[in-house]
Amino acid sequence: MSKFTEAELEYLKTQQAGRLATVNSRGEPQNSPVAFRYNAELDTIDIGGPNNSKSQKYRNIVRNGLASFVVDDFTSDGGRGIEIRAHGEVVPEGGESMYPGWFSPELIRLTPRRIIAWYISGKTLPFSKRNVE
Amino acid sequence: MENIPYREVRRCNLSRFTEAELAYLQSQRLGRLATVNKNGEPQVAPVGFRYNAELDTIDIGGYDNEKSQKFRNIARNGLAAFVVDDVLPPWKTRLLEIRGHAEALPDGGQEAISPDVSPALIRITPRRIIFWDSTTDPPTASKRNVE
Repeated sequence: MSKFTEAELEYLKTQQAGRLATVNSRGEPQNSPVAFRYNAELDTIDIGGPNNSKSQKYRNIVRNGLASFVVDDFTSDGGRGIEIRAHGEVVPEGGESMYPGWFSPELIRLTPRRIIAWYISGKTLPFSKRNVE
Repeated sequence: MENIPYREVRRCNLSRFTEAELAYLQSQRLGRLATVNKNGEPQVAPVGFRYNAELDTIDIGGYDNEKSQKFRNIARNGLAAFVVDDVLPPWKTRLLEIRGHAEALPDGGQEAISPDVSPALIRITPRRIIFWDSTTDPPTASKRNVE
């Protein structure tokens, strides 16, 4: 069973990009737009990129596993989105299939620990904040 | 707060941003702000912002800004990374990331952003700027410390 609600999973499938925050060795944040996909088998968010393992965010995740990821957009009804605070890890392969010929094999994989969603489940449930581990 | 056109700032040589970076910032209204909590863990949220030409800062407001986790994180440790990015067809990406020293201020938000948001304001003074624009030929790429 997924840590995400059905509405959250549907929303994640409609979006192609999010922003990933990581923390460096001095405890300072950095923030990058990234391409992602929901991994239904593992219930994780998988993040790929060109030269992924050379990036600062990748090295930050290797060092401390700290990550927060947000997907959001605007509709005619206003803003909506989901933030996923997570344990991050790196895996050596799988990323190239996201954009063949462009993305490298290495992936950042996020296992959700806390989910904050706003207005993606409709007006009847505008906000949800919950720990999921 | 009166906005000085970016060209004048550039002419006065006051800005840490390049002309292209200022033009991009001023074409966008939404960015994402990463902060760090007391346990050292990151969080990230979409926010409305304005470039403050007078102070050469990024000013960020929001509804109930002072009650937000990001505001309290910044009040505690001053740590922030802010990114503005978009994609133009066909897959022409643009990105401006600003790592800086952030302040949590009691007022200024309504003047900077909108009368609808709370007075509390987050202000970021850039320390490192990362810019990428693939709509130019060749693409523009810059990473530099600015303090």
